[in-house]
Amino acid sequence: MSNTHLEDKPPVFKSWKGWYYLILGVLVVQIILYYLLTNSFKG
Amino acid sequence: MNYLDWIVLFTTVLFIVLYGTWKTRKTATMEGYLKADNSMKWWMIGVSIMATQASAITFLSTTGQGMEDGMRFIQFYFGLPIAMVIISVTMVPIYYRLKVFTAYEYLETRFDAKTRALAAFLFLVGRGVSAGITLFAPSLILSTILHWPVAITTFVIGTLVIIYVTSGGTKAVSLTQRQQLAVVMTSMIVAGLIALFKLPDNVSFSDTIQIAGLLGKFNMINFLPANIESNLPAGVTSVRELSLWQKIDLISQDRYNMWFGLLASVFLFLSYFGTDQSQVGRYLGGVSITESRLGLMFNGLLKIPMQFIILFIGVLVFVFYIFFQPPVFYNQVLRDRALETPKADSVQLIEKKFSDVYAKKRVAVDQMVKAIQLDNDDLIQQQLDKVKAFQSEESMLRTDMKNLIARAIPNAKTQDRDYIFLNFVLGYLPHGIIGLLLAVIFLAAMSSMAGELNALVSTTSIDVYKRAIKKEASSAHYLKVSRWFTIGWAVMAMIFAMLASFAENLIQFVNIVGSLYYGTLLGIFLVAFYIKRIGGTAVFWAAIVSECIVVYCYRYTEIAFLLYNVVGCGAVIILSFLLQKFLPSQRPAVG
Repeated sequence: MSNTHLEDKPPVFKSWKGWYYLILGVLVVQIILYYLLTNSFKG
Repeated sequence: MNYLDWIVLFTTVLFIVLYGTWKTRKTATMEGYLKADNSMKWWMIGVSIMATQASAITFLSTTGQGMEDGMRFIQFYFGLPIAMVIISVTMVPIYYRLKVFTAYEYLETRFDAKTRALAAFLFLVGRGVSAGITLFAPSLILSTILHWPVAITTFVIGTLVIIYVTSGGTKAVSLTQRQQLAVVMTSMIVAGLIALFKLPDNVSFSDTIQIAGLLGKFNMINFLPANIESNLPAGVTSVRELSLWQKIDLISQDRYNMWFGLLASVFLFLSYFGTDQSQVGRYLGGVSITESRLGLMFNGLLKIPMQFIILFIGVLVFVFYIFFQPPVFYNQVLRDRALETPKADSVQLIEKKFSDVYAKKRVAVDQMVKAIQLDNDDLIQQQLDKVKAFQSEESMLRTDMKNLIARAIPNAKTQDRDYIFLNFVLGYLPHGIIGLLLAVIFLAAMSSMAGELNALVSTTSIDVYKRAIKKEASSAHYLKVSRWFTIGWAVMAMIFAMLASFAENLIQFVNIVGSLYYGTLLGIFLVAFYIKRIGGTAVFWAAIVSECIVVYCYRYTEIAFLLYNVVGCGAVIILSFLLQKFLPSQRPAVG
């Protein structure tokens, strides 16, 4: 394995933090969505 | 099944096996065999990670779970994106910097050889058993359909996997997993759409969702156990009267809720994706650290929606079986066998009673659909109560049938959840699609088993053979040995599969097996990453005692299995702290 494997520049965002916020943000949105669906359709 | 199904089934499975074997036949080094020559792009890694985790068990058990228990199982996956972020931040850079083949190599650099050996041993035992279960599910299905012994079907599937994994190793695993996951997800969605379109003309998609919701299947988020009202402690009449500790006690005995999803399952996924070689091996084959991290992000974004789709298909099948009479017992082969015993009359009597109850329920369901369309809340509630009462009667008849079959056929496996989706496929899907759906079961099992085999071989070759048996040899020698290990582990998995029929719900059993050793494994790695002053001897003995504690919890306590991960991990950290106080301090070399 050469050292080029260690070069690390994320696409789209300036740093990996952008990706991490995106992943956690999508998780929060999904939980809210599922919460709303659960309450909207429960018997 | 007719000839068209057989053609579709064999063509799909054989094409993928032969294509994977042919495309990767030139693999000639150990680096190529175990790490795909670090040639994998982020999307290949992401697909490979998802395909390794999603076995045939996922598609059979999860749809059954969606139908019986609703969608609350989705909460189990909430910890996964959090784990992906933590692994990307902490573990991936260290594995890349040390240029390891397996996660356990790092432990020798950080601690010592015995800690590496212990972690590798825990992994090999746990994953070896899981590989058997992964193989067992489709073997059982094929044996059910063909009336062949499970041993024969297990042998056929295991042999197909051996053919392409021994040819191309990680490259073959990754290449075939892409095709397998594409076929699997497409076919599952087609099955869900067919369930939806086969519903009566007067039932719209919106009605379908409302029926599922009213009957408790859209229970995606729950903070307290779903059946808490019926499990209140003595002297407590309502949930409001529960103290905080009583609530925590009840939550700890429940398997799927928000707290476990956001806390306990993070530990499970950290351990699975960060320390289990079957997943670490997937992203260590990346072109670069960037590709590996993106592969993990891919999984973090798509895994929950994927599980949502599979569970939702289970819910659609549930609604389908409201409008089309389901069997009392979904494993029809076992039911037919019961009809050949002296209990046949009793079986038929229960089926007659079930048909009568279903007919009454169907009338109430039709009334409920009309009430939904009229938006009449009082009428909806009135009909809903009737439907639920008939469901309870059906449920009691199902229990009676299971007990009857258990008496009629000694040692019969009467848990039929894993047969629900299969029953729908065989009974209601058009020919050709049945063959494709059965191919899905094969492909999912093969892709998952291939990933597990690949990891077992990496660990055996690198952490056992190269470390302890033959330290210096040519790459060609290690490649040859790795191929033999592939065959050896596949045979072991086949043997475990033949012994696996005792497991009740398969996906649950796999998760329980994983939870028995993942906590300890994660504890070792967390100490390695974050607590630099703790040395190998302290963490080694702490891990052994912690594993004993986890096994004790499994055998003698009622706590939910997801908590074993927290118990094992916490025990390793605390005990290694305490032990280190009595041992000479040790400075780690790297990490």
